[in-house]
Amino acid sequence: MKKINIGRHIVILILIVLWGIMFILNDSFRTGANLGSILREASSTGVAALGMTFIIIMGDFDLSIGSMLALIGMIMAGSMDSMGLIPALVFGCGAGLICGLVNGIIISYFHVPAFITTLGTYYSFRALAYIFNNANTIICTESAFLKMGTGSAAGIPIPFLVFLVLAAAGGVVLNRTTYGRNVRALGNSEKACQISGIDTRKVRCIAFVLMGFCTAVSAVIVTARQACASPDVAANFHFDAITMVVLGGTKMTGGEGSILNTVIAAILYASVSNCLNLYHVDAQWQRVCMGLILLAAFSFDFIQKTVGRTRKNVQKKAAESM
Amino acid sequence: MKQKLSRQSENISLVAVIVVLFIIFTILQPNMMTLFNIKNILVQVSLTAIAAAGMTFAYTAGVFDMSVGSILALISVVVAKVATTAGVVPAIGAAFLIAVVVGILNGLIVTKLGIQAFAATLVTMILIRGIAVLMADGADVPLYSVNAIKFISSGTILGIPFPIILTVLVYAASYFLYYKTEFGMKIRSVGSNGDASRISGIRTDRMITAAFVLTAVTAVFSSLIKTAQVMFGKATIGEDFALDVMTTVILGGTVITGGKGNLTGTLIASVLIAVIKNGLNINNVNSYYQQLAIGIILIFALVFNGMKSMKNARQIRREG
Amino acid sequence: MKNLKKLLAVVLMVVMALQIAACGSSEGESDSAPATEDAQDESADSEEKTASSGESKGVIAYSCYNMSWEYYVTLAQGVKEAAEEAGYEYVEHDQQSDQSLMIQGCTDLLNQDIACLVLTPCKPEATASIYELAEEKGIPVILVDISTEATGYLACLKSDNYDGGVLAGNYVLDNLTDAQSKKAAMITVDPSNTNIVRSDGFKDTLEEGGWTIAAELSGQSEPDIAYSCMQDIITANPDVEVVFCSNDPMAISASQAIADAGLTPGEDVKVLGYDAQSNAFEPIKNGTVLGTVAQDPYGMGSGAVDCFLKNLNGEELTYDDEETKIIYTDQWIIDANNVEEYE
Repeated sequence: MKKINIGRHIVILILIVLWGIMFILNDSFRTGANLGSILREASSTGVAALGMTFIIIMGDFDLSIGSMLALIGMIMAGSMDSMGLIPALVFGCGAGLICGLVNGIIISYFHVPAFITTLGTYYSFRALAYIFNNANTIICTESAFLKMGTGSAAGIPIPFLVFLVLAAAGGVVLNRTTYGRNVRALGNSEKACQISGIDTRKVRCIAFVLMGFCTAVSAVIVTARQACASPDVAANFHFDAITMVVLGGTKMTGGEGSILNTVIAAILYASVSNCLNLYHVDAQWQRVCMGLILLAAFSFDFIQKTVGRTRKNVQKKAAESM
Repeated sequence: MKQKLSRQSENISLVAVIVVLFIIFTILQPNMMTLFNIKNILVQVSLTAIAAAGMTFAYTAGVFDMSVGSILALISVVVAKVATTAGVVPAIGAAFLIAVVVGILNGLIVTKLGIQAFAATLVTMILIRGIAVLMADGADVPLYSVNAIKFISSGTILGIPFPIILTVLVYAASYFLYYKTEFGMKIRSVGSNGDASRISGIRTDRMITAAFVLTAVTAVFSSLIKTAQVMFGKATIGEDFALDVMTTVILGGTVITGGKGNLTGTLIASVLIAVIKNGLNINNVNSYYQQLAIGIILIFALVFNGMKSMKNARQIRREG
Repeated sequence: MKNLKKLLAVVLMVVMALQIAACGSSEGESDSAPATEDAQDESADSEEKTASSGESKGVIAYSCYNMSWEYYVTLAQGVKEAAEEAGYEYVEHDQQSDQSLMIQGCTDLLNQDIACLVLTPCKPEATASIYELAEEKGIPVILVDISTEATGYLACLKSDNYDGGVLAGNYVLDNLTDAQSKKAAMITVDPSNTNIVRSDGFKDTLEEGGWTIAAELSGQSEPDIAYSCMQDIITANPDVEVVFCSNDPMAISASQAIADAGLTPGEDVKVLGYDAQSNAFEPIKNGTVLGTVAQDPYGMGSGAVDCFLKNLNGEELTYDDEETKIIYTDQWIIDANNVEEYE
């Protein structure tokens, strides 16, 4: 059995501590409904964060997923009444794959940096979502569809089950397949990959297509929960997803990362937001708070180095005084 | 030599697109060609162009600043509050002071905490926006009593609107700074090869922080013009400003990896985007189509660039 | 040991963050208790929510579209004062115009077993799950200012936005009898249903009166965007005479744009706003803005609490529209003639 390095999974400890404290102190937090709500919230963005994990490990990021989600939602909801649930889902996933492919091709085969490409698609996908139905919202009434977002099975919210399944699949792909290894290698050094014969363009492109797929699943959850698709949904989605990945300890420089951490970080993020709501913290302060948490997450490296340095100094002094 | 020529050709192709679009829009709506409208376009240009000049320096240094939108909002609120209590001059002074502080903060987070520019400015974007909203305390800060501030957005000198003059001055200063000073040379070297610069004695940390200060300070100009236009301090403006400015810089041909800023390109790109927005507005076209147009143009411009660099690379491989 | 140190460092950072949030949130609201987290024990004790402190009868919560708008601040005031007068605690939630926050926030509020949810939904189409949960918990929902197609609420208090647009339109027809080009323009807010309905009312009334709507652009509720829209409207239609803006900040910016274009707002081009924000009174007094459609947000807010109390007592509610359970509140025009009454 591989030993689990606690250092890599700090975020689990933080989650346990937070939940522990909230359980003791707050009646409303403990209720099944509230916990379910947290898990549901975590899954909405968490699914997309899974795809984003691959992308960040590869050393890139994707700014367009919010706009992608809006577009996919519109297409899905738009086709549901006329074509039925299953075809609508197929169209939605298809739309996600195509959007991801657009990003992937431009980034991998035309060598346009990910930041710029996804900036362009951030504008374009969102605009298409508005144009699709002339800025109007589309209401979904298909109850089977709505259950996907709001329902539970054996007390566990369905979106969370979906999240876990996808996370398990993602973990397997990342850690046990050649593709996963290639993604990590690409994040470490593109040159090294090229020299060892890996087709870096294909690896990159596929990662973005996977991102598109994950966004499509998120779109299903979000649209089902809201019972409607609107073009202005998910304005800060990319920010939340990237935060979840980074909060889990995956570094933006790439090369390594953990799906498990992303899952835990997603739950943590949703829990913090829930706590702030339970205590009726002002909206502006909630934003500031989230910003500071993000700062802390990004500063992991710096904190590690400082703590390491002080520890070494202390050890040195202790050795000298002996 | 080849580089300079290719940059010239990029700039020229942008200008060509502007001319073509302008002609098309004028055919659709003859009032496009009026002096009034052209003045409006140029004022719109100045709103993003000035901030884009600062952002060009940031890109040259190899960083970028996602927080300019929030800086815009913060400055707007600060100026409104200070102007109504202490007057226009203290307000402008306070604005620049705060911008310098914010720029230094951004620089410190990137250089001392070792966080990448994207991540760092993402965080400051949220924090600064939060501060702006808290300062405004849920309302718009009216500026009616301070008529003097109107000059910034509507005043004219010799018939030329003041914002345009500001743009010219800022760009003149930027060209000078970029091409004729040691500072400019240092920033370029930091952007193209940070390690080599450090070894040759350039204080890369200071250069990067300076770049952030420049983006913040140029954002102040944009904020002043916007705030004076509407006579309100508003904490909610500028949500998309950072991306708009970055799109302008990228479209103008500045390379994202650093070292090669294209100030002329940035200026031309600002004009292009303003012409598109104005032309569509005048023809009563929805703003979504405007966004779509800009997004597609951005991608096409870069795909085109990418294809060109692929062709060059292949040529070099063949020849070399 | 090394790992523990790492954990401590990160935990302290996060705690710091929430402490700052706690300091900020304890201003201004009667019910918000400081929020803390993780390892800090001392502050842990002060966290208890005071919802069931024995004195108050429960919590009335108001979840609002966007608390940065003065109109909603007034509405909230109405809810707050009526709630506290009746012996309830008042809690606020800001959706920040984000539909996901709307759902999440309302869900969290309902899960805390509040007495009543007063709601202004930023995305009316997405309210179905909120109604479902409220019904499950037996918590009444009362809508204010924005109605939804989905049912599940006790009552809806709002102004008739279409009617408001008609009011503005009739004002133009009655007062601008010497108009020449009879061209008008509208600056709306595109994804907002409320605003679209207002412009529809205005458009229909004016077109019936023989005017033409020469341009219709979206100012996206941002004054600087409204400013450039107004500029471009003037460029394309130099003989436009009236501009209807579906809220006041946009109207004020539009009048600025008119002035900057060398025309005189109030004479060459007349601007109408909506919402009667206090910022608009000055411009109305000096004539740059012609008038604004006033609503009664405070009345809506306190009316909502009244409905809740009546329902609690088993009284029947009287609706203006039985099917949609809407109770209309007043609207009227504020112009230079009556603006002093409202300052």
